Amino acid sequence: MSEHKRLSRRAFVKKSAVLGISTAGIGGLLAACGDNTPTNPATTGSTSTTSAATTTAAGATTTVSAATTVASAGKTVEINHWDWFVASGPVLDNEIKLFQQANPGIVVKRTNNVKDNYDNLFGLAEKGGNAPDVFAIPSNPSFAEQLASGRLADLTKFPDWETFKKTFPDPNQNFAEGTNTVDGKTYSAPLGATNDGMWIMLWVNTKVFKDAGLVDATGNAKLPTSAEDILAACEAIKTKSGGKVYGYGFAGKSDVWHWTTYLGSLSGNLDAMSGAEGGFDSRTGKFVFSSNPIYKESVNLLLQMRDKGYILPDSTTIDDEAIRVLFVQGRFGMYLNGGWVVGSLKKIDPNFKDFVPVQVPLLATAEPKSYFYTSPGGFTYAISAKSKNPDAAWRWFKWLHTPEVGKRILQSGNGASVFPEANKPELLDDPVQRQLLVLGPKYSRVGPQPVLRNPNVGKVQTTKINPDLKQVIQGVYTGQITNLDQALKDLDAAKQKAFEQGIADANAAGAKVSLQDFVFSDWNPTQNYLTRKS
Amino acid sequence: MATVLSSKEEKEVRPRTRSKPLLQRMREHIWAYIFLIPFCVLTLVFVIYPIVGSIRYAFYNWNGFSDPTQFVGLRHFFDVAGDKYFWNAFWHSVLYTVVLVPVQLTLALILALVLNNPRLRFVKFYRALYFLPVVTSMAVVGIVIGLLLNRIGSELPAWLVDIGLVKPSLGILGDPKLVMPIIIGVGIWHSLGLNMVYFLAALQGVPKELYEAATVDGAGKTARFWHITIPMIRPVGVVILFLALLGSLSVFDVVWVLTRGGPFYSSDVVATYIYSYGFSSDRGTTQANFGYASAASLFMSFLVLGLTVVQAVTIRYARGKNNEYASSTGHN
Repeated sequence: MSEHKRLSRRAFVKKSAVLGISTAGIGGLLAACGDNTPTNPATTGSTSTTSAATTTAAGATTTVSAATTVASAGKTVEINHWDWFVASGPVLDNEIKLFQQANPGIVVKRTNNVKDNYDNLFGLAEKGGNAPDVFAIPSNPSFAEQLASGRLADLTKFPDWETFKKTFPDPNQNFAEGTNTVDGKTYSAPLGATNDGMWIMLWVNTKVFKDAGLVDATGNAKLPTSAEDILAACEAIKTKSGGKVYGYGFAGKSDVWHWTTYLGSLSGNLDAMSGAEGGFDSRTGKFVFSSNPIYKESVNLLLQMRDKGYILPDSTTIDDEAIRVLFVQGRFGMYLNGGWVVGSLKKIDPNFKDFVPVQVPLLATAEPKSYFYTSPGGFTYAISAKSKNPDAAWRWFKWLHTPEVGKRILQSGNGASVFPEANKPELLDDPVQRQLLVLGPKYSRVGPQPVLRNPNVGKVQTTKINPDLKQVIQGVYTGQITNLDQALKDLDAAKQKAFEQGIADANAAGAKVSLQDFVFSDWNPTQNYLTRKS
Repeated sequence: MATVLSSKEEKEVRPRTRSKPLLQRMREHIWAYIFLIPFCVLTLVFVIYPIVGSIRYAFYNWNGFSDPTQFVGLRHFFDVAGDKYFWNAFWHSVLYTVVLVPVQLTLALILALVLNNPRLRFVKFYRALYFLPVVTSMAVVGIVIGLLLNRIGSELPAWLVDIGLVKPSLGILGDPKLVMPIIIGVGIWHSLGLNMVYFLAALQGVPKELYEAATVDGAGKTARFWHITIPMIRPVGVVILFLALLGSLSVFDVVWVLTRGGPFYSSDVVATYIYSYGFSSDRGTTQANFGYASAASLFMSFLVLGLTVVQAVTIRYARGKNNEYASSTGHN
């Protein structure tokens, strides 16, 4: 799985959370509205109906023009919704059902696309004049480019925009200029928790651990917090099971080889940031795969596990879906994945409870040297600027961005919400979800954002290099690369060259951008960072 | 039986045809032109236009969105030419082709010869059986074979490990030494039935009288095969050969479904190389680059174009040879 996908998934979690929040909020509002829930506009006329619906979606009491134009004269309006979300699919479907009950004149037709092809499919649909009304924003091209092309509708044009904006916990941060807002116009809204950047963690099968005797004084599974703990756990699992159960696994076919380096995300790896270049040290403007020891440290941990026979043999060739099944079956004890995996694991076996998340270990350090980094703003969904039913689309968009929807998404295991009121641990029956709620903010910090300093950085396009980090790790793992040090040095040189070439190309095409736009020499990776405009 | 014109007679006929005005000749064959129109339009839209378009894109950095604006000149071409991973992919494409084509065509011909025997029982069943993989989606085939080879939680057969063929830590599809042979094997199996059917059709077009006459003249099975069967199916055989060559050089689906070109480029072919630049992205500013992918695909296009020219010339030569043979034997 590519980093692109990683970000998307994280974004997805955020989105889902927001979605959940919004939906939950809406759903709750709907429930709360009770008698206020509109009757069918086909029979009662549009004004009262839309008024109630709008109140529900926006959390406001004013009737807006959107309400009066949607589903007027008993006509049913169909809006198309596109996303690539799998784990939160059932929640979204439920939200559509609730939304349609509250808005009888609107039908939301959801198309769930394959993530790998989403960006291309979206581009094709758009060129064919069939862009969806509401959609999960494609990861590629950059948000800035999508904005420049006129793909995204300006949300501030909707009459109740200000009311909607005020429903967010911190509007200044949630709609920070340079993120989802450019030149005072806003094109999206955050969905997931903005203080939770921990998109990946170590998942432990507690039954496997307990069977291997890995328990603490209270009888719970003894969770690993260091490289030594991981190796010791692997050894115990292998020994106690007679070699039938493995300590660690990963989904090599899903392109997640580079995830290995995220084992060091709390130990000096600065990559765990939205939009970050892999291996790029934002303090110096240099690629540091070879000079920052954490990369080698992480890879060596993987190689040690391989050499000692701790790793599930299927790992090199199976995908994310297959490894989840094997995790549920207890074929191995630990693997890296994101918070979104909870829903998938429950889908495989609704009774599966023998798992728990734990933060990635500390490698060669007693205290965290780095964190998972978040950014202000945030965007998941947008409305097409060419939507034929913008008012209906806006209502659905608002529905998605409410605390109630966030609550339901959280409860479904698809991440925390941007609305703090949706993220209360006591709302969760599932201890795993409660643990995620605690871990995320604890191991997250606000990181530097080049795009806030200079929006033109979005015009820098770097062509991928061969081999990149994921291929290097794959090559080392299979034995095709024998000199890791040299491979990391070559990687640094190639990445630096490609990155600087991308900057030069952007400048040649008229964008004013420099390497210095990506450099934050005063950044302390253990502290929150406030990016200032240049 | 149709009359075969001698070269001299043919020359006498041609000038008369050419002397007619173009419009008159077109009018005479109007239906032929009408039937050709859909093919021509589709070729223009889906073949010619993309090729021409990709020539332009190859000079830009372009992520497929909006219009390309970052002109880079010939840089992508130089980068492709200097990228050892492109040549690695090219080598794998060639390897796939040079192994698959002769093995598959030989097997297909043998099967066709066997299944062309009218006395063979259940012959239709066998034909259907061998043709079945052709009508099965490669995506489905790839997933099923991937599942078989990945074991998904079950243990590897111990003897495979004992003889050193498979490393337990890598499995089968994770082993760089095993992936290409497996991919080639799957490729051979998947389209074997199609070439078998082509050969069957060609074999059934060989007049039985030739065999009867040869038998009367004392020719044995081997002589009949080399002196009647092979010459008579040569034109079809040449077409099959070049279709197989072109298809093999542009192989993508089986590789993508089974290994995505891995591990560490051990099964990367030109098509997956191009795809990885055009339809995937990475972290940060790293994006899909249709410009680079176009430059790489142009190289492949020229290669395939060259092969097509060779194909056309060879087919013409083979047909000429076949006509000569038919003339000498009195068959057409």
